[in-house]
Amino acid sequence: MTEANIQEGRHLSVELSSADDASILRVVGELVGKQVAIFRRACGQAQKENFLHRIVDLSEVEEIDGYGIAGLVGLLARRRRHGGKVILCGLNPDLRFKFEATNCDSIFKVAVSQSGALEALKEQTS
Amino acid sequence: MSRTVAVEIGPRKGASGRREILSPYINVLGLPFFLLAAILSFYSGYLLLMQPETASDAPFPFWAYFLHCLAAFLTGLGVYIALGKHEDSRLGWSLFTGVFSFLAGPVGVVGAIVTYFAARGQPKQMPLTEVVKAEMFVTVAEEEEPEDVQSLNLKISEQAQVEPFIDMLPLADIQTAIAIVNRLRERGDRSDIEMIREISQDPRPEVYQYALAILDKMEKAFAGEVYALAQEIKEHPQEAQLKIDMAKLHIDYMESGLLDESLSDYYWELTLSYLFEAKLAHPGKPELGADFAQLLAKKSLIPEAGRVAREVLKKEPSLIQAQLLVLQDLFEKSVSEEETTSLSVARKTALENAWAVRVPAKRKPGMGPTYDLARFWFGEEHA
Repeated sequence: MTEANIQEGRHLSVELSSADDASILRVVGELVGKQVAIFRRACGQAQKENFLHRIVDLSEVEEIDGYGIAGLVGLLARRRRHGGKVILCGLNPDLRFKFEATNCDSIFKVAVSQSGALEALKEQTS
Repeated sequence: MSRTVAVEIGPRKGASGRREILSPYINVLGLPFFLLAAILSFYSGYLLLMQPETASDAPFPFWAYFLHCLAAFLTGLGVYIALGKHEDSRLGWSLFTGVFSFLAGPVGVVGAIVTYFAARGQPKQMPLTEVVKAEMFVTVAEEEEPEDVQSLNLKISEQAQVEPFIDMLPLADIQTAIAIVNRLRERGDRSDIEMIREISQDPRPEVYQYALAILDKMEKAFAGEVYALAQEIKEHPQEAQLKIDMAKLHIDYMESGLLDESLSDYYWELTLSYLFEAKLAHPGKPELGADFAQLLAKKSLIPEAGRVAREVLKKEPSLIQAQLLVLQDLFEKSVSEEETTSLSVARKTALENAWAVRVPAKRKPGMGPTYDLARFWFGEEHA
């Protein structure tokens, strides 16, 4: 698990697991500002596991800002370079609103839960 | 189609950027020679005119011809002395005026002296050969091209204009290479900056150090703007326009060609951060969505860019960049999936949206390949 408090009063941790051909990143806390570096570090660790796809569970993310969304788009760009896919899951209404406001809802495949994301991934790759 | 432009050799003198000219300095020691040359020349002319034409036994006018030759010599010598400060050009000028005086007699002497005085305002910093050499290297696109030569391969032709110059650079002397760097900096397009980056790999220290110094200066200018804007954002965090300016500034930096390839991923993500911050602070700006689509396309995320562009066009159909991204998405789909349906959909989409996209009838300065693509897909505006 990658965990840290880079910004005072803020906390972010990222748990790594895997299923099928995907690394699952479960993000907990606030994906904002300098905290996004922790998420990037976790993405780097996932890279070492050599799974092609990524599922990002955002169900326990309390807050996200432009930096956090950019971090997710960056992950998408890197995965696409390797032919992989990124599926997000567990977006709360606030996150969903921010994704819509930034047009990111049209570039990410979004599922309700981790299991839904895995199913979507199977569908897409089969 | 291209035209050549003159470039300046040597460091710029002042902001005006005008070429240095022969200084008004004249060594007064040259003036008595001019005066003496004029007197002797006119006197020799007088002697020759006084020579009786019919007298067959009249002696040859050696004395008059001697005075004539002496006058021509003194004219040249006078110019040589007068131009004492311009060692590189005075021999040429004195020979020129001397020969001119010899061939044209008294009128020639006066003409040569007058020519010399008139020539003091001409460029002296860059000899003509340097101008020709520099013009061989640097070319710029016409601001307005004739209608019949516009085509979709503009990007290729732009490359064709600049690529040979990189190959020929080792043949250029140091002064010319530096002049080229200066000219490229003045133009400042992405391809120009990339070329300066190439020149910074030149083996000659004078050239690569100069190119690196220019790049460093440009980088610092960007960094200064970013710092100033960041300070303003710190002071006024609720000001949406500042975030938009920051995002645009980063997009400009990415477009500038200054960015090192190894840092492109980092800056791409950083630019996205500022763009999203701006979008969250100011959701009613569809052109920011078009910028986002453009950034996605930059990382070859064309289907994603197409999807974002479609969303943006629902709010603002006249955004030409978004329109083109949708067409690019359809075009690439037709190529990758080897089917023609997407291509015909692209054509149909362009026809349907042509009302919204107003492409100027003539290319305006600064318009790049987008103009040609837009004209290809949407035709032109007939105002």
